Amino acid sequence: MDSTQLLKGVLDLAVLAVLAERDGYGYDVVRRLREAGLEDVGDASVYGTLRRLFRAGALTSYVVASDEGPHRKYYGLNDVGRSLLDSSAKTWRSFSNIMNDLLKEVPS
Amino acid sequence: MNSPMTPKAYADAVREALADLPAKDREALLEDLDDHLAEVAAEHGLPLEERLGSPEAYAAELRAAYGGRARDESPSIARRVGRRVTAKASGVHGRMLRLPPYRQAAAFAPELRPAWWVLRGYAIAIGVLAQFPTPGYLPDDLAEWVFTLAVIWASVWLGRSTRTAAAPTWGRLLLLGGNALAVFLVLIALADARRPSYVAIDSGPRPAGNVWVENTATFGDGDVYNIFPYAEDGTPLRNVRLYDQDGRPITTLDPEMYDQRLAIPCGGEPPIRNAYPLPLTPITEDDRGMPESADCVPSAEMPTPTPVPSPAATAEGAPSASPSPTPEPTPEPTAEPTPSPSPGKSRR
Repeated sequence: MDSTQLLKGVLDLAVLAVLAERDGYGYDVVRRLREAGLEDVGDASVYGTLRRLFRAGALTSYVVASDEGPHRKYYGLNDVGRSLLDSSAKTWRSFSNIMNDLLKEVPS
Repeated sequence: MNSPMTPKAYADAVREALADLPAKDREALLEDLDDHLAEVAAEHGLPLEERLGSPEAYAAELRAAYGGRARDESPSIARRVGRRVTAKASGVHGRMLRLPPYRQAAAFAPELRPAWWVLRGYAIAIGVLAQFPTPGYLPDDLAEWVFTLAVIWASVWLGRSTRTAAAPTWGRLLLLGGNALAVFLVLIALADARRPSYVAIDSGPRPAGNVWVENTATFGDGDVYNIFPYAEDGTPLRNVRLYDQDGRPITTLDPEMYDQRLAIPCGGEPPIRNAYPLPLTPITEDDRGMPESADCVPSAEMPTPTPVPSPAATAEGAPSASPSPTPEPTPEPTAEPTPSPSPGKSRR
């Protein structure tokens, strides 16, 4: 099964989870998702998701000046983002439980 | 890809692929694109296309992840109506495709496109030339031919190039306007072509349909609503009845179109429509500008038709040394045209 298709459905949740850990800028979020194991995640998908969540009012953003590199736009969760993460996490847990039950008899 | 794209070139390509988005969305999506690309390029040392895919794919991914347009930018009413009409039309088109004749026509129609390009150019050229004197459906001289061919060439070039490249909005509007104008001009021409511009010879008592006479040397200079026959020696003839080769009476255009009316003698038979010259009187108008009803004319006052020949016509008719018979107005009032039995040739 193509995991990129699965990723599309849960990318919002993954981005919210990464940002709940600590604030991050675009490429930083991409890297942390990859390090967590989502190696197929696309840069553009993450950037688009961040912009969409920000537009929807789930994220705060602020610009951090850096000495050596460019100024970076950091994103973090606000209250809307945290409650969105909670409800999405619940949905995901119950969904994954159902899938695990279904797959219990399937040899791995 | 031979030479790897620079971050700048890659970013430009992505921006171009997203050019159709509203400015606000585009700005939000692309604000740190350059920094991101620079970081990726510095980190991996790989060509950007290898690491991120083509700029178009990157743009498509960005667009998909970002979702639709911002909520406060709902499409305008015009755009919504346009979208609905397009959807309806394509729905009807889809259903109609089940009918084999429609399917064949739909498959064939694109092949007619070049023909439309030529017709479109021709119609617009002739439409422009019609603003000058001597309008017609053909260019008159070399300059007009050159102009017409140039417009046709431009129309075909436009048709070929818009097929491949996406035109900007104003270009599409211009093209739409040009097409609409061309359709309008073609329709005008079709409607106009049904109305003959040459002499219409109508049948008087309507025996066997209309007789049409093509432009001839005699009729070429304008509309004919009366005919003045002369004998060889120059004497005006009267009550000359004209028939065509099939025995149908030859009649001229309706004189009432030229504010003339057939004089009807009192107590006599009405004049025969194909006995020339026709006894015509000008139509008089009453106080309100309406044509007065046709009263009969006493026989003594019956009008005498008098032609007013142009000098050129007289000269042309005189090939010999002897002066040509110059039609002269007959001063004395003459008797009304006597209706005589129609010749045996006439089919009734």
